[in-house]
Amino acid sequence: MALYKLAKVGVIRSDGAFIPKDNSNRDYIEFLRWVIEGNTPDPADPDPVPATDLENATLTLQRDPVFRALVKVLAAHFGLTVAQLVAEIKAQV
Amino acid sequence: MSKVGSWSTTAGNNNSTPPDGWPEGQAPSTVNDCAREMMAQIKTMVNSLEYVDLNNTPSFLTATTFSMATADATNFEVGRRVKLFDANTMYGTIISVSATQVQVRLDYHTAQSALTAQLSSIAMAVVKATNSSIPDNVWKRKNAIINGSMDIWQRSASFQPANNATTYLADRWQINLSMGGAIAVSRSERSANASNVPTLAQSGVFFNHSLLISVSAVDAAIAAGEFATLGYIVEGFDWRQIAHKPTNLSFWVNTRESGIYAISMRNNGSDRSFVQDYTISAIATWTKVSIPIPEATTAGTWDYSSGVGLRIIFTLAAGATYQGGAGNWTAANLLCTASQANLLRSAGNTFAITGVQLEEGQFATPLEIRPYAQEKQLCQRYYQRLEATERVFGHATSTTRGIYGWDLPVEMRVAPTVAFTAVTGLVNTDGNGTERSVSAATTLNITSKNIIFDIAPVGTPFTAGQGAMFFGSTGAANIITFDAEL
Repeated sequence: MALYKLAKVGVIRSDGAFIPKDNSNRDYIEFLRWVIEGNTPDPADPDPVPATDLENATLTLQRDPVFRALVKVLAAHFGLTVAQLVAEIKAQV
Repeated sequence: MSKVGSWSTTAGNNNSTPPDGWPEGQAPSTVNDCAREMMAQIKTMVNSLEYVDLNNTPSFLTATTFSMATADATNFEVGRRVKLFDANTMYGTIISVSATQVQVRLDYHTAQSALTAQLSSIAMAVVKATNSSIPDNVWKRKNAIINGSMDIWQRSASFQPANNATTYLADRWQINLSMGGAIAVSRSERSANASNVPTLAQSGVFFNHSLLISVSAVDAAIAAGEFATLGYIVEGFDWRQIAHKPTNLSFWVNTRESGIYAISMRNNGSDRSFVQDYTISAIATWTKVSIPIPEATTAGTWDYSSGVGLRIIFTLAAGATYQGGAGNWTAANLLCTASQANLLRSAGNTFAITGVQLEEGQFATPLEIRPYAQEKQLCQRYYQRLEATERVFGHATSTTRGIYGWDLPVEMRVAPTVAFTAVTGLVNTDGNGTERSVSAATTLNITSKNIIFDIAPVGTPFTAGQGAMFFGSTGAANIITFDAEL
């Protein structure tokens, strides 16, 4: 593991400090000096995986008051708690 | 005799009838009358030296204006203070002058709010609005040093500086070691021992703190390339205000190793430096040091913006590589002369310093005292931290992620380095205000004014779109640091 790892904001030092890509920041100047000396930083972490369509649809439904009321009615109809009903629906998906 | 202000600068014109003047062939019996009257008039003037009656006779016009028989544009100038003899003695400031008419803005007076026909005479303040008699440094923020009295210690109150490294100490102060010994640095407080700072009687300042360097491991023989220095860097913007003029560096110092020490100054490119010795004769005694610095040459590499303007170095020990002549700016990178003492000669040696001031002019003037809040804000341009008492607001973007914006209370010199010193000390709250532990923290954007944080809670407690907040848990100090030091 190298002393630095590339990041969106600039670089991340091994102690966890986030160093912006600013040529007047003394830590970034130190990083550039380290690179000039022949060192190579670790590559940046991959971007987070975007939410799937199903996850986005679920989030939208969770915010819908009609949907939440429907879940409550269905749960009462089947003699389940809301959590039990949601777990049952997730198992079917 | 008439008022001093009516006397003529032409000797022969002071010939009014005795005792108002000294006419040619005056009776011998009037000589003593003239002398006594002259003494009386001089004494009258001395009794109120702040104002001089130039024998201008004002005629009341309005509540704020008067006229004069003769135009006197030389003495009646906008901005000059005046003393007005009306029903009461009043004070004011001239706000306009046209020919023989003058308008004033009167100071508040409990018994009189306007000029009246009783206005009989007027005296002028000794100092003109366009004065040229008061030293330049009175008119500006004279001390280029921030935290010269060692009152702000945002990072910590004690340090064990590493060798071959720069360690930041009290705000704006740093120590550089490249040698065999070891030292410790701490905040030395008056509350612990009055002798930790200069006394009020000797310094005229009620100091609270000094910066104390203590030798914990000896380096009795300093090799050519070794050094130990206490340093301060003046930012280019601040350096420009006094750059290439005669300056003075003054400070209070107390050491257990007597001898000759040096201060040095260096430019941005380290291709011009200045060295001057000072002698500490008495150990364990607070001594005031004042060092005049000749104007620096403009040759070499200097910075007048947000970079290194001027490095000020208090040399504690240095080998032959960094030794040279004193008293002049030279094209070299020097720290001291060959006379430099070695603070690290004995274990237990100490070097304490406070009240540091760098100002324009060859002479040290009294230490500039700034409000604590202002001093801390000046420090925060270079270093600040988010503490447990502060709250950062944002919103959840998913069940596992919150984005938060933090406006830095003081714009920093440049975009700072952001360090999370204790991620486990952070607490997230979801849209319902329920506190959640933090699993990871990162930054999405860093500028000199604002930081965007990306904080992940443990688990999946968030609802996208809902508000969120994070803060440090009780007792977790120094949660996030922002460092834009030079």
